[in-house]
Amino acid sequence: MSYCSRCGVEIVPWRPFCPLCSAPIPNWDHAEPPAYPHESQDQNQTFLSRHPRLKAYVVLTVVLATVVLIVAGINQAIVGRLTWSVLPIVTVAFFDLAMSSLLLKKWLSYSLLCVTSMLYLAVLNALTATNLTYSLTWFWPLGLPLTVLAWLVGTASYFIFRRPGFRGWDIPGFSLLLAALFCCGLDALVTHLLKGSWGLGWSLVVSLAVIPLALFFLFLHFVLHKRILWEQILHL
Amino acid sequence: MKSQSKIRSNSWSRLDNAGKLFPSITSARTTTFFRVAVLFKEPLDEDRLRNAVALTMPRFPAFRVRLVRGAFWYSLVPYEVLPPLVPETEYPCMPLKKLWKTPHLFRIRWWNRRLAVEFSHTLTDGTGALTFLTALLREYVGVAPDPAFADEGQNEDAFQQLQTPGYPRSEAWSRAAHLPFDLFPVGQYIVVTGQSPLDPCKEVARQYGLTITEFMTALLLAALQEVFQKLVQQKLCEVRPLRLVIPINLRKVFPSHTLRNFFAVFPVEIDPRLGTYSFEEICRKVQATFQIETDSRLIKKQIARNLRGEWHPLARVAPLPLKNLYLNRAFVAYEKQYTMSLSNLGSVVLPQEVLDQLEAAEFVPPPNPHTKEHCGIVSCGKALTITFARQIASPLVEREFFQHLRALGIPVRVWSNLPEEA
Repeated sequence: MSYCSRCGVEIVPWRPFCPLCSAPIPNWDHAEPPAYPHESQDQNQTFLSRHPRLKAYVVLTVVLATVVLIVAGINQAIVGRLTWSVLPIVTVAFFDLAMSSLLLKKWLSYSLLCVTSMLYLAVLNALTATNLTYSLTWFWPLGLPLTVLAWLVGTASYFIFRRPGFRGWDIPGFSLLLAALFCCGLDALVTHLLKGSWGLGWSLVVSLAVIPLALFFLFLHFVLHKRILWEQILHL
Repeated sequence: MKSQSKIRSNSWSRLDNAGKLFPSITSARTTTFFRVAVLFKEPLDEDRLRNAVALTMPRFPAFRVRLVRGAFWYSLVPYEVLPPLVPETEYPCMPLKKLWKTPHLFRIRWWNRRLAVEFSHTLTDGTGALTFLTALLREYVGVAPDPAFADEGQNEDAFQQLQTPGYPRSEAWSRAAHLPFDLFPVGQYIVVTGQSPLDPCKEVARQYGLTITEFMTALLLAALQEVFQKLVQQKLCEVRPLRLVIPINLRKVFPSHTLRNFFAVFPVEIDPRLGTYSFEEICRKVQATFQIETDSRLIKKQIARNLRGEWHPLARVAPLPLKNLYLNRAFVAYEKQYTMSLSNLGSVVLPQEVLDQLEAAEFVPPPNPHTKEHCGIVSCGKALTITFARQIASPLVEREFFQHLRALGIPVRVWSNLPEEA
C-alpha cells in the first residue's frame, strides 16, 4: 500500500503522485493498470469544439464569394471593367480573412484580427491613392497607429478583466479609463494628420469628464467594496 | 444506416419539468451528462456485457428514446436501437455532439474493471441512472431481475402531480461565493475519488448526531470555509455566503415509479461574513437545515415555482430559440446562487452475489463551468465513495475535505484521472 505522507491518505498503486497535493509516492507500482485510460487528446472534444466553427466559416465564405461574384459581374456588365467594385470586393475578402480567426485559439485569433485590419487599411490606402482622382495617403500617419492603439487598448482590457479576483465597479472604471486613453490617441493622431502638429482638443474635454467618474468607480471597487481599514492605516 | 434510425414518430412524450431546462443549457462545458459507475474486482467480459445490455434495455422504455426539437419545446420520441458500448475515455461526462443530434441520451462505457453509465440530465436523474445500472449488473452477473422493479409509470412526469394552484413560490437566494480559478480548456474534467469504509463514517457521523449525508455536508462546508478563508486572504475572492445545494430524491417523499427526473434541491449555507464556524457549529446548522428544508410543504414551494415557469402562457408560446436564450440566462443567474452541490445517491442495492464481485461504485456529477466543482457520493456494500469533479486545476477543496476526514480517524483511499505527470 502507498500512502501520501503529506495528506495521510492511501493512494492506489498505479499513481506516482498524490492527486491531492502532487507529492511523489515512493512505492508506486508501474505494472498496475491505471484507473482511467490516458490519451493525449480526446478526439470527440476536437470534433465538438472545432467542427461547428469550421462549418460556419465554410458557409460564410460561400455566401461572401457569391456576393463578390455578383458585384463584380454587375460592375463588369455596366462599365466593361472592374472599377467601383474593387473596394467592396477587397472589404469582403478581408472580412472573410478576419472571420477565419474563429478557427484559431483565442490569442492567435486576436493577433490575426489585428494584422488583418492593418493589412486592410494598407490596401485601402493604396487603392484610394492610385485609383481615385485625389491622393490620400492616410495609412502611415493614421490607419496604422490607430489600429495599433486599438489593439493595445483591447489587449490591456483583456488582461485587466481576465485577472483573478472578483469583478464589480472596476469594470466600468477601467472601461472609462481605456476609452479616455483611446480618445486622446485618436484626437492626437487626427490633429497631427490635419494640422501637422501634435495636440489635444475635444479628447481633453472627454477625458476631464470621464476620468473623475472612472476614478470614483475604482474607488468604490477597491476601497469601499474591499473595506480597507483606513482607520488602521492612517491612525495617529 | 437506415435500420439504425427506426423512429416511431407517431408516439412522443413531453420532457419532464426539470428535463426541459437541460437541452437549452447544453454546451461543450455544461454537458449535463453525469456518471454512475462500478469497479469490478476482475476485468470485464465484453460479450457478456453486450448480452446484458440487450437483455436490460427492453425493460426500460423510458430510456429507449431520443430528443427532437419542436417549434416551442423539445420532446422525446421512441428510438429502439441498442446503445453502443463505448470505450472509456480519459475524461468522463463529455458530450459527443449537440443533444438533439445524439441518437442516445445516455451511453454505456467500459474499460478494464470499470462499467459506467453516463446519462444526460435531460433524460433522468441519479436515481433513474442507478436503477438502470443495478438492472444491468444483475443481468451481467446472471441474477434474476429485481421483483420490485415496475415497468409502468416509468415515463410519468411526476412533477405535474404536485401542481397546486395558488401555492406560494420559493424565493431566490442571494449570491454565493465561487471558486475564482480559471477553467481548463474545453473537454477536460478532472475526477478525484476517495473511498472510505462505510461503518467508521456512520460511527463518526452518529457521534455528531448526523446522518451520512448531513455529516458529509458539514465536512464539505468546513473544508470550503478553510479554502475560502485562504482565498480571501490572498484577495482572490470576496467574502460571500458558502452555500451547498443538496438534491433530494422526491420518490421517497411523493411515491412514484418514474425514471424521469424527479428531484428537488435545497440550500445549506454558512455565512463567513458573520464569523468563523467551528465544526460542531456547522454540524448543528446542517442538521437544523436538513430538518427544516426536507419538509414536503417547502419542497412543493420550489416545485410550484418551476411549474409556474413552465406553464406560464408567455413561456409556452415563445419559440424554442427564444426559450433557449432565456433559459441560458436564467441558468447562469441560478448558478451564481450556490458554491457547490453535494449529491448523495445512497447505496447501490444489489444481492450479495453481485456485491461480492464489486470493489466500489462511483458517482460523477455533471460538469458545470459556473460553480466549477461538484461532489458526488455513493455507497456500495461496505464502502463509501466520495467523488470531486472539477474543471479547474486547483485540488484545494478535496484536499481539505479528505484531510478533515483523515483527521477524524477515517481512512481514505484516493484515485483520480489526473495525468500521471501532474
